[in-house]
Amino acid sequence: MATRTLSGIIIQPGLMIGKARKIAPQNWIISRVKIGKKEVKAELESLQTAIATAEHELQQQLQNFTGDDDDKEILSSHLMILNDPELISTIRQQITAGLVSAAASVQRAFETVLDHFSGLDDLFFAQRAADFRDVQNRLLGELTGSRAASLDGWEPDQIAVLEEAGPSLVSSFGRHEVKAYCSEQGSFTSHASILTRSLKITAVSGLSGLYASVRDGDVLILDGIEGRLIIAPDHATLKLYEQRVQKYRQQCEQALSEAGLPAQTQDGRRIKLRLNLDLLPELEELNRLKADGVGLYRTEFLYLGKDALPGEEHQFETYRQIARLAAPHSVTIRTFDLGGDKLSHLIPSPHEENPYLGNRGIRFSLAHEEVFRVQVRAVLRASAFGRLKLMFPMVSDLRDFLRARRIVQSCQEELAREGLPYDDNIPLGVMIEVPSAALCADDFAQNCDFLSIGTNDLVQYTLAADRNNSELSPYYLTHHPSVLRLLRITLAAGQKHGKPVSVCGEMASQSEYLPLLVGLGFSDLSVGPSAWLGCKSIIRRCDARLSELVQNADLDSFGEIENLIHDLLKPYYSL
Amino acid sequence: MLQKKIKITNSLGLHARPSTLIVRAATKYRCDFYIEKNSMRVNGKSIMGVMMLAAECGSELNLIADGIDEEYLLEEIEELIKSGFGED
Repeated sequence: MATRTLSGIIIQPGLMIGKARKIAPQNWIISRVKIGKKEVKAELESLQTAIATAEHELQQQLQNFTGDDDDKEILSSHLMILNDPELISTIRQQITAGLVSAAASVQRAFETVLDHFSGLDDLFFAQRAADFRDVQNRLLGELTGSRAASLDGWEPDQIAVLEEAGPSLVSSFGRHEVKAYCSEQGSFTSHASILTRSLKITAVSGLSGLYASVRDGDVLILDGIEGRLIIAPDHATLKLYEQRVQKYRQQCEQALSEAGLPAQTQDGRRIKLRLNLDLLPELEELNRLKADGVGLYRTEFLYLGKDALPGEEHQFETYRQIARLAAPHSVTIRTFDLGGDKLSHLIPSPHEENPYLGNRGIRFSLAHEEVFRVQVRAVLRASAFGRLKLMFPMVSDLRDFLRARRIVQSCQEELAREGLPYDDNIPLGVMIEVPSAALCADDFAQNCDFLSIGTNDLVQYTLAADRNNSELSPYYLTHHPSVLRLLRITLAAGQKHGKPVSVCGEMASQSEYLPLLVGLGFSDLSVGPSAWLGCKSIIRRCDARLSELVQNADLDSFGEIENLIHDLLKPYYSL
Repeated sequence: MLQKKIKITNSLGLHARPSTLIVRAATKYRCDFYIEKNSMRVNGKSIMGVMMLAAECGSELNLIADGIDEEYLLEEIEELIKSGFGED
């Protein structure tokens, strides 16, 4: 069988090589729908028994649950669904008045609820459908006599392959010592995913076409670092990953043993190591990791897939929670970074031939000031409850920053007139991700309170190579001399004007580039939660010799840079 | 019968956990309890009902209690909603 690679979203990071074991979704065969009047009593009784049995099982799962106490709530909400007076009376009525069997009545009643949830646009509500589906499965399992997929005889090297993970399945994974799963459908914030993290089960979801592509016993590489699954890898890939797993284990042990220690180099440089986050629930990572605050909070999630733009109150509440949860650390909130292509259902926007060079980021915000002001006011109001910084994306010209700053000032005056509190000194900064901004970094450093380099876009704009086009990957070179020159220009401009310059792009979280950044003199980095501990380990290995190596290298020569990264600096990132 | 208008203020709205808290609190009382949002009316002691409201932050709800302990129920539910369900 040929090797296939699927990409998905990381639910819980990890790296594992194992054998596929498919867990079939439960399919109910409801053999009887219509019943006679004489059978009503028996059907009501079997409904009662099914509820009682399901309740008993749930109680037992609750008692044996090994995850966080808060997450037990999820299972106890299933108990509540099972005892829901409306639901049960609907089902009973179907049996008695509609003369429909207990199983078919349960099926119909739940499908009505599920249809309703799947019609809701709000992610939080639509996902709760999974909880109802879970309880429905329990009841139908009892009533039709088809039991849930068995996990008996689970081998430690097996990886569960699913269509979709439900909360009760995930909690039974905990009891059967299932270490990893991959699934076709799923989202980061679903209940099943929260339980997955709580139980520390490595998982990647959103792998489309997964269930049909895998057979029982196939060798799988579940790469919960990059967010992909490799099915039936060839010999070379397998060997490569065996080494990576080994290395990853060592890194985890190393990182864990240093968990309480600061991100400080051997020569005593304290590096600020912050987190990049998208979602409110991810904030728990901040305290777990003891990170130095949030270096990049992306606000796109508030807008994506919505029917209406989120209002000021909704945004204010979200930002206020972030500010409070992160205190005493700061959170850099980036105003939303989307173009008309993603928002045309909310704001009429003309079609763009080339959205990446189009009306996006701060350009879009300035073109739709009424939308921008709502976000700015919400951030300003929340700034009274913690330490917030405000950052603008896709700035290519200083005038864009100056216009944005004037709007912030006008919102501040407005809030002052309304008597609402806000932080008068909220730091305002820009993303340096367009080459023009890096080249003119001196102007920005003079006017802004901080600069933050977004390497992903900076690399693709500098080298004119789309980072999503894998055929162009030989051109997408993060360590190209042109990119390093822009990094150095930006850092020097910040140092000259006494303004902090951070790096929040992927470059900071890629282990082979991290020592280079530290050696160049960057001391403020922001990376995703799954990379954070590993990055700290690498920082703790950096020393004075590293800085010397970087400073003595000719960074205008691609050959020397390659030599530096792949040879001289290797001891710093490779265990 | 007693009625009370109230606004949802926690940022995530009545998602699973707040709905659970409301139902758990309401179930302790003997009176009937309904929640209205726009033209939709649900049984406030039903988790299905409360979640089907899909009340987001900023939604206006009308709480209706009818029975011997109606005022106590409304008091507790109001407090729960105003506290933001302990999420802030």
